Amino acid sequence: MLNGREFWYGPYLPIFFIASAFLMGCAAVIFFTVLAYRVHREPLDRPMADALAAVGKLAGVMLAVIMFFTIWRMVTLAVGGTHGMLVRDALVSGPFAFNFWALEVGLGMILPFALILWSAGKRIGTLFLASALVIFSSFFMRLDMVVAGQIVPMYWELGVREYAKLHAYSPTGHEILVVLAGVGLSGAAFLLGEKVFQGFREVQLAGTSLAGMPEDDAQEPQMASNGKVDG
Amino acid sequence: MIFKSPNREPMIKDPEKISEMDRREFLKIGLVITGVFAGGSIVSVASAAEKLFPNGSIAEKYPYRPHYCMVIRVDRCIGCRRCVEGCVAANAVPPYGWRTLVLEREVRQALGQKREFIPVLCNQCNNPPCVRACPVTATYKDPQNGIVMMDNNKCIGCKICMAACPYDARYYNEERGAVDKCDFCFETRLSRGEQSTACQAACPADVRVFGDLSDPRSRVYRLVHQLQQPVWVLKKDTDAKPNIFYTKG
Repeated sequence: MLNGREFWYGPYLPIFFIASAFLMGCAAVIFFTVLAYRVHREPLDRPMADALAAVGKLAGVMLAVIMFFTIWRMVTLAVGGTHGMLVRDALVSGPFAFNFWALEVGLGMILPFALILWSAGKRIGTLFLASALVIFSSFFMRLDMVVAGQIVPMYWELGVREYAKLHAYSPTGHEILVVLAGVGLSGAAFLLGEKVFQGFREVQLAGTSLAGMPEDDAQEPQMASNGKVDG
Repeated sequence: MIFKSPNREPMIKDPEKISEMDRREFLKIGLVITGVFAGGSIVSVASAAEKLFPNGSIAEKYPYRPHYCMVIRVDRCIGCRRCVEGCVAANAVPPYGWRTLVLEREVRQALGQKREFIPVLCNQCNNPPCVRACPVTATYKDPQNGIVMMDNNKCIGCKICMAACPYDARYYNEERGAVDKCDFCFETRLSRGEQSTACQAACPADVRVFGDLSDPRSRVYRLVHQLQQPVWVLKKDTDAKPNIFYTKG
């Protein structure tokens, strides 16, 4: 933790990070599992659907934790120093208000939480949508964290002319390209993984070629007990 | 396992009369249980950092020799910025970065003088957040003189030190391919036998006093170790224990 920056420093921050990592993990499990089944055009079998519903419940709990810590962080920022208050104002009513309320709170907390509740552990499509929203908004959560932590100039409290305004940030073309490249790389790695590790799946569907992987046949008997997919 | 001398009274007879020794004994047991006492590392890191620097008060002992520091007499600064020019010339600082700046504060309502100048530079902290943040130990406290140095070959340009610095005293130098910062002119002057920094040498008003804080005969020692005039540091609350002191009068 960097104690030079008030927004990046606090006793609750590590817990917040761990909880949001858990949440992100749950969302990624649901998102990529469902996506994998869709890519292979296979229906979800009962055990897998139950497992995903359980992960969805965990994601709901983690969302509740995240919501609590978000509220708590905003409260503690209000009683901290000037830096914290400036950052809070920027998030709540300043230049980051849209990012914070719409993308972080709306799309990242309230809507997915409602969707998870509504899915009732049955509607996998709804869970999938909720997890996609969580992944999408987690990006903005981290972005706001990084950017808002740096908008207050270090010499703000001196009241000098050079640092009389908060810093502004807008991403450069390169930064946007790097983010898009990251998304593309993740997608490509996912698809490649699905192709290469197809051997872990027991059932070969028509049209899915596994011709180049002779060891698949050897693995088949071992894999028969778990991950059964309805033909 | 509880360490207790055999001829001691039963530990607590009357809770009102818990002696200092009993308290210490109790704390010691607690420390043994938590395993901190054995290594002592966690406790000693905190206490050593406390001892390292006065944070405005007067220390008995300084950890480096020479313990380089700078005292800035802000009320003398006229804002000519020759220190900045001197620094740029001595250290080849590019226009997009800075090693030292003179900030300007204007208070219209003030009586008399309405403007003051505040020179800033790397505070060469004794507990430097930038050094803690660096993932590759490219920046480090010099074991001899306590200057926060850069190893340009090690620097990977991740800029986490820039984010960590409470004094905004670092910038990424494109030409060097590394983060650059004030080193009290160690590379360009001190290591070549000079006794002053470029900014101090360029100052016409004797605002910046540079010297060895561990030497009782030095000017900085006399400026810091007195009670008549206020001596303060910037951003004391970050607990970085800076080596740039400010004074007035």
